[in-house]
Amino acid sequence: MKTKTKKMSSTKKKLLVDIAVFVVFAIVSAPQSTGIAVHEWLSFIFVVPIITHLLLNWKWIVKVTTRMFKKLPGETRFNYIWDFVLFIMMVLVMVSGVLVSESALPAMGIAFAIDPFWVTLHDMSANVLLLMIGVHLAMHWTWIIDAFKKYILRRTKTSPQTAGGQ
Amino acid sequence: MNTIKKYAWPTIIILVASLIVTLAILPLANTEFADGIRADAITEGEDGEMGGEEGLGDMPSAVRYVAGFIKEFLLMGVAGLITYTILRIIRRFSRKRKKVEVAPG
Repeated sequence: MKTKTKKMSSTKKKLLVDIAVFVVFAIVSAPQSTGIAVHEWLSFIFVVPIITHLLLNWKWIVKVTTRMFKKLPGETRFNYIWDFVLFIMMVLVMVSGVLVSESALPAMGIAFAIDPFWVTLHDMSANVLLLMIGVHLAMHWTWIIDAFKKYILRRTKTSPQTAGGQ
Repeated sequence: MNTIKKYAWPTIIILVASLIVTLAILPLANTEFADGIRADAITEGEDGEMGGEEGLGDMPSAVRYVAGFIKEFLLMGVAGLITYTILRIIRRFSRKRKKVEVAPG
């Protein structure tokens, strides 16, 4: 016997993943509040929602990459370049974070001398990342609000574009 | 199974891209810039400029707890607000320009 399963819309999926990314990011980005251990272990877990976020927007990434040197709206081009730099910055924060790990890696039996260079780079890049995320959110603010109203507040007056806020 | 097939290559591409960025970052530790930062960190340590974790050492725990989120809120909020304002101005301006282009005569 076949059971009918209702498929979740891609916009709703994206919204739920984006909310998860934001919540985990907000907790991870405040080590003074959560403590170093939570900060480090949660940062490892953060890789999953961030990769899911990229995978759900993969079609857009491929589409814009192939059209990068053709005619594109300025906003789309800006978003693509911004997101690319954001990805590099995210990797920089994560790599420098791993290199200055005080709790997670030693708990796994991996320990190395902490270099002040990586500590400084981790702090600096994390602050820059926060600014960049602010810009990223602002660029997709209309989509976020429309999707939030439709799927969380259940108001159907406006319909968000299905392009994943890109 | 289809989902795994659909997302396998993109995941590999993302991981390879992350690896490339990582390999590009690691040599930074051997630059003069890194040596400068190390020297500054040693001087700051000797002068006792840092008050514990990011200078919050003497703060009461409740303030310390909130401070992390306030910093986050301010950095993201200010950057987001400025961007959103600029974006609205650009959108309004480009809409007006389009109207002028379309207008007859």
